[in-house]
Amino acid sequence: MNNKNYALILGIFLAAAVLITPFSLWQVWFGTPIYDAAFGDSLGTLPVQRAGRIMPLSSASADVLRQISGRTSSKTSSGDRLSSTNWLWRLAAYPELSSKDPVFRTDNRDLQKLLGAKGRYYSYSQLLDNYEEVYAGATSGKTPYAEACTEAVESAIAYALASNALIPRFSDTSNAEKSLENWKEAVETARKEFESAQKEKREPNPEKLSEANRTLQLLKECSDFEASNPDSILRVVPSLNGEFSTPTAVALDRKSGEQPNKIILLYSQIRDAIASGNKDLAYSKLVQLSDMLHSSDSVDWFRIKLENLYNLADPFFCGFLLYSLSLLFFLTALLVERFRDSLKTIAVGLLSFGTFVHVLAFCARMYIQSRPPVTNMYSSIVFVGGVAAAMGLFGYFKTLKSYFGVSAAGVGFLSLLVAMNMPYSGDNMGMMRAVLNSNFWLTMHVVTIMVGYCGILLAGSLAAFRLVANVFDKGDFGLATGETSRSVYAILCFALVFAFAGTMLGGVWADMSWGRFWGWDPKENGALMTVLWCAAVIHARALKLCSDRIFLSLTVLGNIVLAWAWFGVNLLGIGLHSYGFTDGGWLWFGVFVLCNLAIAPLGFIKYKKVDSN
Amino acid sequence: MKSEILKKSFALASSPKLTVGLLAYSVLLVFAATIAQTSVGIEVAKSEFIESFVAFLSIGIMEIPIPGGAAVGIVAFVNIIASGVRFIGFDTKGFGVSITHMALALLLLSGGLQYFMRDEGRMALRIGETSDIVVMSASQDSTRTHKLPFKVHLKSFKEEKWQGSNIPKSYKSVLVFEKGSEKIEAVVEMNAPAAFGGWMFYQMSFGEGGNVSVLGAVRNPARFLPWLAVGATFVGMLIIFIPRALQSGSVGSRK
Repeated sequence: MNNKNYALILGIFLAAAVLITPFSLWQVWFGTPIYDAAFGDSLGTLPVQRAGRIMPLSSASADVLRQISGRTSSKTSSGDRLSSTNWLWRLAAYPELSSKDPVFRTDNRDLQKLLGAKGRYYSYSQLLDNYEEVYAGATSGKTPYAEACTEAVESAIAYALASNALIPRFSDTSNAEKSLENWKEAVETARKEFESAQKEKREPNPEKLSEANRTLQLLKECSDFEASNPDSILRVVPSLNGEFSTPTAVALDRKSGEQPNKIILLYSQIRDAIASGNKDLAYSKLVQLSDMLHSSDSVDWFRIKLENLYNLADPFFCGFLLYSLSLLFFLTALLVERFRDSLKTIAVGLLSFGTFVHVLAFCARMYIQSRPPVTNMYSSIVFVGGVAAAMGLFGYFKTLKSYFGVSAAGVGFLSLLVAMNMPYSGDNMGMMRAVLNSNFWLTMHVVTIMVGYCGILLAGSLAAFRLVANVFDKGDFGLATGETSRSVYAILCFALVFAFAGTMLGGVWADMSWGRFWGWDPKENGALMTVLWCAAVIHARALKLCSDRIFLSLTVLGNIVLAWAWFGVNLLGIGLHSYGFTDGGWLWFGVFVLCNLAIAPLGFIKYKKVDSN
Repeated sequence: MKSEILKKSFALASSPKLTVGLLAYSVLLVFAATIAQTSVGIEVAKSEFIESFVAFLSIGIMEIPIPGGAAVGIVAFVNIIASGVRFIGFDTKGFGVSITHMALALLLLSGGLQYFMRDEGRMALRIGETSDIVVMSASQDSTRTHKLPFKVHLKSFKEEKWQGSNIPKSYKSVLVFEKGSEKIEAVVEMNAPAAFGGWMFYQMSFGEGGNVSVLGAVRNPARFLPWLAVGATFVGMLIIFIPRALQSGSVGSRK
């Protein structure tokens, strides 16, 4: 066996190690199969409806956590790590203890100071202690502090809703099953009192109604609070007609004499078992609950289980690690001549696995959502990164040139880095608003244009890599530059076809839905700018107006135009394409622009040998 | 002498440098227009930068005149036609290039035609209401309206949300077009307009808790021209690039 084969085996071994990392980390950190199991029943696989979408509890809880802390796991005040599912159940089982956990995050120094936060994180009780001041701060204008306060208030609402998500809200929080029983008895007592009062033609005795009244009041308050935040609540109780409700709403709706809804009874029993530390009992109740839920048709279990597995396997994080390692090996291979071939083999192995996982993950998202791959900003980044990496990998296998591999790994790495660090903007597999509720047009316009963007991004990174590499090649890079520029040109032509078709199909869609082909909306302008720039660069080379080096520089500048069309215009916050708007991000946009501005002038570095043109 | 001038102006009109210059300049112009949109709004920026011959770029207190979208469009049209004549090729690629660029010229032309031929207005109808008045533009001082040669009756309006959420799933208006004794029922939904008597009706918005449906009403005889131009451009591009892509080694060079 030669070195290359050893390298290949090592690469595969490394990739496999990375792929099981999230699973193993999960075990080491969280390690409780009752909350999170990859395949069997767990508390994380219970079906929940949030903002109209039916998802596993692990997704819903992670989404709430992401909103309040920016992460999908939490830490208790004693420093233990909890998975999102575990956190949500802890919230129900130990409300007092959980309120001391530092799960809220703010980056605003003034708010941190006001709340007495340790670093960026603070607890619910810290927030409650200062709620009036925070609330006043939220209405104090448009300063960063006010925005931070608004976020804190919204997070507090999400937290409060989540704390009542699994069991109905009763005044006695120590035993959920007993509270449910008490509520049943109170209603029964009140009913009997009303009946006998009616029979005896007297006023009902207020004392006998007081318990029912008090609880009714509490449930009603909670239910009104839920009704005013319809897109943030977790509905865990499916009914026969496929509609989901919250436990509080179900408890409130109960007619006297009726048995408590079996689902909320089981939820309450699980909660009590967890609170008393009896995990075996909790698990047996979970199995009962799962069996009961399985018998109803309103839930697509395969989808739920797949999404739960997707949450646990964290494929984008795996992809990110694989791309990073691949980049590392590629760059080392470029610097170290001795083991170059072996290092390159390992790098390509890692890159192949990374791309595979990346593409597989967005295919899983497509299946879970029953939508084309791009439905919002997050998915557009993930899709473009994945497809560009796959195109780069294809280019590598076709030409065996390192620059394809490096660019593929670079684009994949960058896209997943951005996707993982995007500010929270709701469930990233959320339901489509009316105007976007068309798989046909999402595919025709959005996916087509994104394939175009893949090409521009890949071409841009190939060009950037070449120009930077030229600095290290001591003047002897005429051949390599010519070669890269031919590849870049081919990819740009491909990109132009798709970007043009996608943009213009957007015009046709706009004509169908808004009655105008083109309205010079910022997002349309951005798309047009990319097409025009792409066409300009292609014409400059095709009509022989510039050298290969300058052509590469112009392609690098195309990255800026692309970033503007993709992210920049969303930061402006005007126009009809408001479903893509994002907050913040100017800083990172600026960094990206500056990097490209720094690389583009490298095209002026001249060859030592005769220009290939 | 005369032919010399003609030759020179033809060379200028079909100059590759002009092509690339125009493309690059358009990127900057559209960028400037987008930035202006944040301060003066989309419509004003559109008329100042895109639909004008001269636009004014304000930097600090300075107002720098620059060529506007209309000027760029006309020069680009001339450039495309002239280059098409100058560089015409008779192989497959040349054929594709010709189709692409002629279609682009048509696209530019249809953009210009839309500007002159397209009328757009709004109709806000209460459920059960019948009207033939389209509000073409409304400002504080005056309202310009247009009387349709037929009547539009709003039979019903329905807003549907995704179950268990506040996220709208669809908006739907059922309209009845009435012309003389003729009555035609049509459904207008998001992404699915209805046509009658040369006008298209679009679901734009709604009000008063779903009792009023706001429709966009558009008359545009040149509506399908851009569709045609875009389709032809795409076909042209495929004719250029597919043979190239089929040649092996087109992605990068061979080893």
